[in-house]
Amino acid sequence: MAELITSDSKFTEHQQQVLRFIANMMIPATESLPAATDAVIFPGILERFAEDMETAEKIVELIFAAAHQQFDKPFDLLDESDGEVVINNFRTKQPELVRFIQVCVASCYYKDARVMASFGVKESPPHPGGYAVDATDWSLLEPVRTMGKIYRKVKV
Amino acid sequence: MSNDPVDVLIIGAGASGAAMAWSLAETRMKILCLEQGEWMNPADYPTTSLDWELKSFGEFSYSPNTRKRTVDYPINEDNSPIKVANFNGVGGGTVLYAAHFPRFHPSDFKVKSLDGVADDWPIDYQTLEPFYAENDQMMGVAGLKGDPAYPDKEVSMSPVPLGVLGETLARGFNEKGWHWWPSDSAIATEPYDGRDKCVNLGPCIAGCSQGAKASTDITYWPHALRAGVELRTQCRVKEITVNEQGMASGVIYFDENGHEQVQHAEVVVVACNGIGTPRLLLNSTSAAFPEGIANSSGMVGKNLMFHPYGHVQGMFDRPLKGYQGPGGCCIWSQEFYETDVSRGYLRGYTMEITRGKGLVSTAITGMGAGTIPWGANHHEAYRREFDKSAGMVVICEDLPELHNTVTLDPDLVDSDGMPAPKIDYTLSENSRRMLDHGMARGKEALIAAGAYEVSSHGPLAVAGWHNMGTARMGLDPRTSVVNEWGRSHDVKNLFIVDGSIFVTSAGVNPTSTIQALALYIADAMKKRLANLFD
Repeated sequence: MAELITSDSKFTEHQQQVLRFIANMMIPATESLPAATDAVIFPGILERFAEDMETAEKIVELIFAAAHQQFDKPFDLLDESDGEVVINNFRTKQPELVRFIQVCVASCYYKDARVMASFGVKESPPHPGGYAVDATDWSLLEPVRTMGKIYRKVKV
Repeated sequence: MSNDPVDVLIIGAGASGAAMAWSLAETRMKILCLEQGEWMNPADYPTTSLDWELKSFGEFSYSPNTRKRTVDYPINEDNSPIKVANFNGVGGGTVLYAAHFPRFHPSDFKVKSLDGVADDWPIDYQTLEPFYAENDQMMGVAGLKGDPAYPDKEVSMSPVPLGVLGETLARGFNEKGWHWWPSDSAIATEPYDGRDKCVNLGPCIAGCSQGAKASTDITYWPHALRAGVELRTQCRVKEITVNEQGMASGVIYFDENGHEQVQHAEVVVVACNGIGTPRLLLNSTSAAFPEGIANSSGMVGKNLMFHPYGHVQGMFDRPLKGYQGPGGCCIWSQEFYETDVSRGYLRGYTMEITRGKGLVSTAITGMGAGTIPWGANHHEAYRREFDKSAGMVVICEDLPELHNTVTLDPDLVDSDGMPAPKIDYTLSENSRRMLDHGMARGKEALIAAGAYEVSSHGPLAVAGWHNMGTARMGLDPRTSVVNEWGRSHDVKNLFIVDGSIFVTSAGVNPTSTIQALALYIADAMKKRLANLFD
């Protein structure tokens, strides 16, 4: 992943704050795994969002508006639990936009080397290395071989 | 490049166009193929990138409406629960297909006589058998001799490995006492005709970076080009033109700069498959053919058949290494392929085991389905799903119905301003019942294999990979578009060689049959060169 710093982002600080809140709400850290807001991962997520700025900005605008509507405050002044209420309402009302968010976050998070390694997946594209698959035990077919032909004979 | 008249003009460089070009090349006729897409570079396919999963959802999506390359044409599919999947480029749909390579069965050609539905084909399995074999050699097919669901046939290479996932499912089928067999796969499991062997990358349906999968850009085309066939890319045919005698005189096409060009030809062969072919024929209107060329029967664009697909998934408590190996090719079962009226429907289906999902796909589908939550429980749920799911698709025979159509959209156009196709399709009651039966049997097989949880849904939406029947073959010019060897009833120097000429769809992937038909029609043309237009 490219070494991006968030200050390079096309998003304003306020916009980044909303997207960061969502990403952390989706995939928080554990003892062994980073969060989606990890310093290495999150710049890539912002870059992914920026590939469709129109949709990303629409998401942020809708969330800003919802915060005002529900709590009469800017989103960045909400405490964490109120922020989660806003996002969860958004998730209910905007499934298509939520899918877009999930694709942006998951597609970056699950290609992080630490995350891939934790699942035993090699940290490189499938090609050219590929995978070695064990030879097949064809004795499994014995019951099928004894069936005899099962296709329908045609005499017309 | 010159637009000097040619003997044979083939429209489309996909599965059938490539086979036709190669077969006719031995005649030493001047043969030109026009393809709206470009040559693909396997190094650009998603699996060379860490972002391979995302690329396969976007720029390499099998939906042209998602992919939106300039060379694609949009499709209005609002009135269809099944959305079209295709690819436009040298190799056509074979660039993004799974390379499942089953043949039709003898019964598939005689459904009217056997089951009283639809129509019989004017040809039979025996007619196509030598061309299936020839095509298998050209494409290179991995498989295992002796499948009891088929007449005897040869294979070129050993089958693709089943892996942990495949063997697990095979044991499930054995537990049920049901048929299964390693899939016939157009995938090189050993070096074959200049292609390297498969290294089990996974997502064949996003293009094969290894070059092991038999797409026609790396199978037929190198041979056809060496034999003297000319292939022009980024050339989108606008219409087939006719002369005063009502014969095809050539085409008008848009070149890579969007400029109209005229190309004359003695013979025109259409190879644009079940959506592109009726679109082109319907766009080719003239005083002689006001409803579209070759359409005196009114059958152009009618009888559209997809294969309704059901998806069945099971969760297992152990890793299955499912993301390793050809994604779409593993084993199949044809236990319920032939008609049994006691099941509540006619005809049948194949169950095809699919391999597992990658890291990103697991997350996206799991969150989409609600099985992987946001928040603290995300990781635990994810770990429960990744590499522990196995599934299958149920591919149902669709029967032809007049109301399932491809027409021209009154508003939607492609990048050259050419009217786009519009799909109107409804799932028949017979297909619905077959789909339900197949998904229920699929669940039983997965449970027998050890799944602790199973689910299914169908018809799959973006699963219209197989587009058939829209310029059907037949003996009667009143009810069919082409005759029993692919020649238009109306225009005696116009041939159609793709999936649009299918009379029925069978319950298997059609590429092998599409190509066998193209080779058969090419052979018929070669045998009749002296009196081809009589």
